[in-house]
Amino acid sequence: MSETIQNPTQPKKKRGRGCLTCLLIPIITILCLVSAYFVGPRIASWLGIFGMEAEEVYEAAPDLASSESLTETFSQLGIPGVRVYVLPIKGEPTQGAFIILDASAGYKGMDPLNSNNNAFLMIMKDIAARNRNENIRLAHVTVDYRDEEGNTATAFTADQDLVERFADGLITQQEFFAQIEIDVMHTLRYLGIDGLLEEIR
Amino acid sequence: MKTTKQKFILILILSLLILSLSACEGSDLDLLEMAFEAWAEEEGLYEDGEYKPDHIVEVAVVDFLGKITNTEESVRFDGIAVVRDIDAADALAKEAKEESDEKKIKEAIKLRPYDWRLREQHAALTLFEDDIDGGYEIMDSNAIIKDQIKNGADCLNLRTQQLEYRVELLQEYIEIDNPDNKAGQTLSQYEMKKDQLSYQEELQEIYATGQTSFCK
Repeated sequence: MSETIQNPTQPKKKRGRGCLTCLLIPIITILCLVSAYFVGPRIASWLGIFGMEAEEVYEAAPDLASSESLTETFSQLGIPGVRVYVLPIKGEPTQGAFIILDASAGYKGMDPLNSNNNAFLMIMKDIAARNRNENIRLAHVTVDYRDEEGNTATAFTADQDLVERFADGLITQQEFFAQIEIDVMHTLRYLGIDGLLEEIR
Repeated sequence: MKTTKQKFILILILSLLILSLSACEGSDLDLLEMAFEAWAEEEGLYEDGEYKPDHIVEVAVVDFLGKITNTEESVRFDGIAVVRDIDAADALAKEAKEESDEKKIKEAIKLRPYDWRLREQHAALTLFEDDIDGGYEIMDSNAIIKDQIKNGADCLNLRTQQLEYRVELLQEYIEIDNPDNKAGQTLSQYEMKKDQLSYQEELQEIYATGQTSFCK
């Protein structure tokens, strides 16, 4: 006769561990993604894997003489509401020009008199000439269009080499615009159509 | 496969890009329209008079990755925010001068620590208030400029800008009335005039000879 030993007490239920794991995995995943997005680039930038942040690249004071000279390009053409900042680029002997076309400061368009459709070409020619004659050493020209509230509506950037080729008549206006870079994401965000973009995806 | 809805959305995006730019009028709008069309064609969004909406996702993803990895173009666009920081720091510096508030100039320096103009502003303010700390800020300003020269900036040009800025700034402080001693010259005014004179002498040397001991 064999005796079976019966366990008088019920085995304890393992409670909660499964649920806790289920909860922890997404939390940790989200934390990893968030830190990868916010901290990752900074670490990578610090290690030299990614490029430097803009705050570091343009940390130096504006080149006052060059900024004033390029701002004159617009004021001499009677275009109000435009400021130009020429900022030295860290680690390079070149500088970047930031042209702020600011409607909140009175900017109304490239050609307020609407009599000369070549205003844009004249501006590019003048910038190229000042860059050469005054040894400004521009690497790029970045244009920031601001609305009546002073918010950036859109922006584009062009290499100085491209500006020079356009100013010298080596490429057409169409070819010039084909090679500029437009800040797509910011412009879309400004327009508030992220949702529409999602629709396309 | 493109749907009519997708086509409509892309046309809407491109149209909005152009039409929403309320800052622009007349020829500016034509110019932007041309710019966006030429750009869209180059990016493969517009081909033979037909919009290609599928490619906008690729453009957006490349743009997004560029922002994370700090590509040259992305850094240039982020530079626009740096310009806003410059404006904010300059506004704080102006308030600091008007209100003789050292805290505000320190805030400005915190925002743009490598901007030598703000160090000059701090130095002038502290000198105005008979504080010896101004000397350290002048040294910091010189050190920042020397760093820029090491990176290839033109020494003579930069030193000239710095001295002209310094002389003008000191002149502004000298002209501010001192309510505690209206009749005579305050010690700080005397010190500022003395410093201003020495910087003017160096400037004259630069204008006359194109040289300065600072750049040797």
